[in-house]
Amino acid sequence: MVIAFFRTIILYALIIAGIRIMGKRQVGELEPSELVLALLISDLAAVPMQDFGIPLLAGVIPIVTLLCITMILSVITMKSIRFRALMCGRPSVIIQDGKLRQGNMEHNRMTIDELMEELRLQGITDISTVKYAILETNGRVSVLPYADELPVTAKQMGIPAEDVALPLVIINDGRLISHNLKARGLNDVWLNKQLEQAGFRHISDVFLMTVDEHNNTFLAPQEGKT
Amino acid sequence: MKKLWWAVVVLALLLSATLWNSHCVAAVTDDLAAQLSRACELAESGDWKTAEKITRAAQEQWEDATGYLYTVLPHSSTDAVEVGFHEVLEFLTCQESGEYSAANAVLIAHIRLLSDMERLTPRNLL
Repeated sequence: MVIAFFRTIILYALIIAGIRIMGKRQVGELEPSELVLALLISDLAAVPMQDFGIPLLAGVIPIVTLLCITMILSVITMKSIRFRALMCGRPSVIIQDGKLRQGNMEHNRMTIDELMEELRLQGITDISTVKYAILETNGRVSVLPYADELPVTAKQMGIPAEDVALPLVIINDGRLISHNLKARGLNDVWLNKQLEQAGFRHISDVFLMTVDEHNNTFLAPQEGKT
Repeated sequence: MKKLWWAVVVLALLLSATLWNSHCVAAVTDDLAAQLSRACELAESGDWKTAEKITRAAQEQWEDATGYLYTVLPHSSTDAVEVGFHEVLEFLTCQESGEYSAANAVLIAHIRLLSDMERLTPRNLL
């Protein structure tokens, strides 16, 4: 049983490391090679986890091989347009100028129900308001309404608008993230002043503190510590 | 591109290591099989003591290699060889000719199968 314990830790760590090395794309929408990897990798790890008569390498080697092949395919897909088309296919236009492209729907085996579901998920109830709906290679549908169906923007109204400022987390669950504080060009003196103004005695009393590019702060206290 | 080359290097290393493993397993098993065959010939000619000595030496060589072999081969296969050695040595000690020959032949077959299953052949691939 102790073998099962350590094998599980080793294989789990290997899979996590592999998925992290693959990058953020693995966590989001999956390309075909990445989907195959996700399907296979769990089964490959499960076998030596449960059957102690199989060497650990019998799980490790296939997993590492798969990770390497997927990495190679991902890089080649990124560099070569032709290879990308071969591996991932090409986006298909499903709606153009408010009209359904039925041939493309049939080619992609996309039913009307699926299309209507995707449109509803994006807040579209009237197909005639859609300029383009494109079935992407990852299976999602991008919907581009006509310009006059889009919400008006501040620029169109001639109203000056302040750009969004990216907040950085300065305090995370009572812990100071020093490099983020420095990245904002701030220091401990400024921080202590902000905490004092907000009624906090110590960093550990703060659950979350963020600061954006305009030095606007957001503070949330630890529950039970205000 | 760095990730690409790292992946290629790791794949190449994996392939080399697995091919080297096939070679190592074959080297161990061929030697053991040869020793056991020699022991069988000696036993058939009546020289039981030398046959037992050679078989025990083969068993020691097997014991020395088990650390590596249990890491790379299914345990069911290596266990069969382990058990086979004990069986063969018992028959050698008792000088049971028929049973010894049969057990020795089975042991040699098990040992040869260890390297056979690691070889890159169409049969293994399919």
